[in-house]
Amino acid sequence: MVICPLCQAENIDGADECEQCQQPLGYLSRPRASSPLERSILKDRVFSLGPRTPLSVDAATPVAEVLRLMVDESVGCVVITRDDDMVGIFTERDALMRLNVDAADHAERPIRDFMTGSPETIELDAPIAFALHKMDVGGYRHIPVMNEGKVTGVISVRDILRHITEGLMSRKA
Amino acid sequence: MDIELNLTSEPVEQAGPVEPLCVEPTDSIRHVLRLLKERKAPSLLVCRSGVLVGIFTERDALRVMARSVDLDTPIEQVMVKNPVTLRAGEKVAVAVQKMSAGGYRRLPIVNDSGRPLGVVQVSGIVHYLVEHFPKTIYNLPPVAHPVMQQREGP
Repeated sequence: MVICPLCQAENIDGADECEQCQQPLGYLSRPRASSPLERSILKDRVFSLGPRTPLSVDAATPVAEVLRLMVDESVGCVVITRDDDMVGIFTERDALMRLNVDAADHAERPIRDFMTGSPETIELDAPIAFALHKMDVGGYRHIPVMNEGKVTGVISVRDILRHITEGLMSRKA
Repeated sequence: MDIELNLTSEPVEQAGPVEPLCVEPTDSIRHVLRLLKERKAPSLLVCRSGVLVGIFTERDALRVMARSVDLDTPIEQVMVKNPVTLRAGEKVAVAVQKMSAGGYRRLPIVNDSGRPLGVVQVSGIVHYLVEHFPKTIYNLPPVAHPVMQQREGP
């Protein structure tokens, strides 16, 4: 039940406008954040996490080279491209699940054989809550960030944790 | 209900810790990698007679693969020794802060004698957060700001 704030008429839940006075009511049934932290993950956009410029390699790059690059650059996720378009990502988890003890045998194979194709992505101006939700549903730790159809970065679950920790700290201070 | 209140008052056990998967320090890397894949586990604990001495995660596995380390090497030579741990009943906020500060994605929970009771994973924390922001997160549309390219109807 939604009570119209203007004419006090009773309307059904989720009504777009008041049956009696046609006043818009949509905003009343929209979810609202109940705490500053909750508000911040809804209001702050993905770009405020400062997505890292992705480490990207061509789909034909040999496995061994990609692994070395990930260790040297301390990243858990590389973006795989073909002609500048993203075709997949390769993460630590892919390495463990698909290469495992055979890593040495597959060293010269192209990375495209082991990558995760068409990964879930997020828009640069989406709320952080979106990223959190996608990570929970899909069990991802990295999500490529898109801007106007191109990959501009990668955010990791660690970036979100940092955002939350900073929120907690500033509240205490 | 206030989310901050939850983070600082609820124990980490609420963030869905998983059963610890343990191996002996003398087990080979080959055995450990196979076990991780078989159990679809992202990490395991290395225990000497039941007491936690190290942890081996996906990150360490990547390093082993990139450097082509001999797979018959015992795990104790490549594990991370004396990992950062949590004690039973520590608060969720402590876990979040320890993970964020050290860049860890799993923290073993140990009892007073150093025996592992469980492992708190970052995915458990994410799920905990999502569950505690129910209205705002569950009601999200699939696209952030949908703009219809064409009007509806014929």
